[in-house]
Amino acid sequence: MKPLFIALAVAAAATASAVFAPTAHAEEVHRQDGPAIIYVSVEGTTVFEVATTLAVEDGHDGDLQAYYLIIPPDGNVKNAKKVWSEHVFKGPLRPGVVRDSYGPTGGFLTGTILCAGWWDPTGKVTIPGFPCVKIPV
Amino acid sequence: MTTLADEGWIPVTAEQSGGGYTWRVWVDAGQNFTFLEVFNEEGETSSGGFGEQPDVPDEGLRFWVGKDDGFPTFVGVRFAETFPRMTIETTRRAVIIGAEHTEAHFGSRYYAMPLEEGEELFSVAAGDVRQRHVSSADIDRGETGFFPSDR
Repeated sequence: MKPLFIALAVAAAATASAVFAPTAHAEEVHRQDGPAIIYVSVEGTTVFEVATTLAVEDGHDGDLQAYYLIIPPDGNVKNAKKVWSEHVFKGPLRPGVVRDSYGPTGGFLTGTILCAGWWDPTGKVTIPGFPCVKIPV
Repeated sequence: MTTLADEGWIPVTAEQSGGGYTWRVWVDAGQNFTFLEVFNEEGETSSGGFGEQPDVPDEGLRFWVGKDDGFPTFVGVRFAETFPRMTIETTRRAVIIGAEHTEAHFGSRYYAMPLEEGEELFSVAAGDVRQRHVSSADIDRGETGFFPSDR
């Protein structure tokens, strides 16, 4: 039974990597709005990676956390799903760039819009920049 | 493949073309998103832009930059319709767009253009607002983390 379990586990891992690993046909796109950039690795409507960076030119006193918005093809923001990154950057931060790689991945419906933004959980600063990409790119 | 027109978006610039590409700026019906849509000669498309941020003060000027595989870098700009002109400064040129050469929609004017190979965006200005472009696109791979500029 044990070999069978291992074989199934290997098969499952291979299937998962076939589904989520970017292929040679994956496109790399990025959009920048102000200090924020969204990066998307995508093939058709399958998204392999979504990340965002924020340029912190003069440093930042508060904390920083990325969030992602998934807007369905009907374009109605009331039906959008907001996904918070599991990572919070604790301030203060020196000048530099923060990167978050916890964006949503998987298959999306044609016409879905993905956006990335940043906020300060301590409420000290409002962060401009909300770049978006439509799937498929 | 659906286009922004198919999905009921509203065109806010005339269609422009050059270098084998055709492009136009669009706003969605709910005015929550401003996107640039570009087509190449093979019919492939590139689209993207920005979403509204009601909690962020609007200086009357906002621009975005996009890059897809197989497409040049594009710059898109939205500026208040009261500004008489808008200027895109790059490492090679200053492109001055008079308001009379644009359309006014929803209190704003819009413009977009591709950058040439090796050309980089420096700033965008309109009225008394000037926003410098800070590129951090080179942090395009890797894990979640902080990359200090004085490293």
